Amino acid sequence: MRDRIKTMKKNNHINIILLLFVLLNLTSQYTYAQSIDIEVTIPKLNVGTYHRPYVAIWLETDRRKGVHTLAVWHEKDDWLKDMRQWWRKLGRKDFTENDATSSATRKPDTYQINWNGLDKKGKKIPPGEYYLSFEAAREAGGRDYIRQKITLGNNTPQHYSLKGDIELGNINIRIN
Amino acid sequence: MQNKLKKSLYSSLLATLIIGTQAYAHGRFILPTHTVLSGKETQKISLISSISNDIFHPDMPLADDGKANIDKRLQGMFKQLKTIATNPDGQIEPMSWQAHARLSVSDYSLAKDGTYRLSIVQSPTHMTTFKNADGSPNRVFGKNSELPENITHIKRRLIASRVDTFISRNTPNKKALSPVGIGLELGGESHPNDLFINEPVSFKLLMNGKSPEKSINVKLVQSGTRHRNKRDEIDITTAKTGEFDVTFKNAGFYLLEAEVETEAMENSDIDFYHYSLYITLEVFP
Repeated sequence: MRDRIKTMKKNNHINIILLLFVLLNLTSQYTYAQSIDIEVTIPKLNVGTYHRPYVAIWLETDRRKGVHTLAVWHEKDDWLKDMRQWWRKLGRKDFTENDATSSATRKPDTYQINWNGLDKKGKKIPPGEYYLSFEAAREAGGRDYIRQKITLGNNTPQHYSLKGDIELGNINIRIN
Repeated sequence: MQNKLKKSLYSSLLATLIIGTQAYAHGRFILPTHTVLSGKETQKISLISSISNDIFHPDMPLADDGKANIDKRLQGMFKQLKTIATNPDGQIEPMSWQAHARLSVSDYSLAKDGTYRLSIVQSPTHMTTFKNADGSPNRVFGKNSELPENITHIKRRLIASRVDTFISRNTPNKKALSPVGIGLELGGESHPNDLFINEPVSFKLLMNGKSPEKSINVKLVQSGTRHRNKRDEIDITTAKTGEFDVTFKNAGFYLLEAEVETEAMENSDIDFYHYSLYITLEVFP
């Protein structure tokens, strides 16, 4: 009985901590409103053996520190390492299959990704200059790795157009 | 869960090994430490072999003589393969391979002058691919294997594959290169141990020891794909005689891959013959 009371007390503590967390988040210091829309094309390739590419999209600081993963399209975790830059910057520390950003590989087409500027914990990313990075690796195929400098938090609309060499086609980034 | 994963890994590996169809093809190779040797005494080399899409970076073992302490299911896979060493007199010599986690290893002694051909061969095997009643792909090995009910897209194939590498001590010769006459093999004017940059060479693909009488696609990939973004494949279509010319621009090891699928004659107990060939070539500056 006494044990049970103890557990209840403990639970109460956890609840209070959780409540504090929620309050802290609501009063987060970064309240800029910005939406980041990304359009990524996986090109159709005329090759004999085609496996859908693994793709990672993530944010880094200008000092090359991994900040946040926006998307990881993959099948087997054995091959996550083949997205080498993403793997060293964020994947190996920060990625689990349960992440909202994790999904299956995709066939050649154009895909939209919308990101609200929140990190994994639901916190706004501090304003500043960042690199949005794209990496694609295809089994028995090639690899692509592209980065674009962007600014978050200054509420200036931005538009960038990039193009991959092999495994990624056109990429459009719109920040509003 | 772990077991289930392993099981599916091995069955896909088995398919990888045996099927050469475009959709399943994985690179596989034998990579020797040396392809050209000199000296009056016996020369020794070491070799690795592997199934891998990273060319000459091993990923899975390709051969074992049954003594390695590895999963039994892998041993079952290796039993389907023959490892053959042919000496410069054209005689078969014993050769042993040991599987490790990511590759197989072997040593070989070249006691004679001339060219050795070291091979890992999948003899012609019957394989039937089909779609289950629910549409999922499936396959069965063996000539008269029982097939499940209500299946569609049935294709019966006779498949054979060959992984070769050539090593010469002193003056190369061509006895070991004589066609065995099964599946795809490399022949032609040039010698695979006499390749230098900017020198055109002429080879000929043989199907069952003869001219294939159809064009075959040949792919050459230089080693080190893991460390470059583009695979930089050299794609060649042979003449109907199987002949093709190539001039290598860079020195290094190359993997030559060729595959062919031919319709069988009517009233045959198979629909297609499927042959694949993997050869390691070393080009010198």
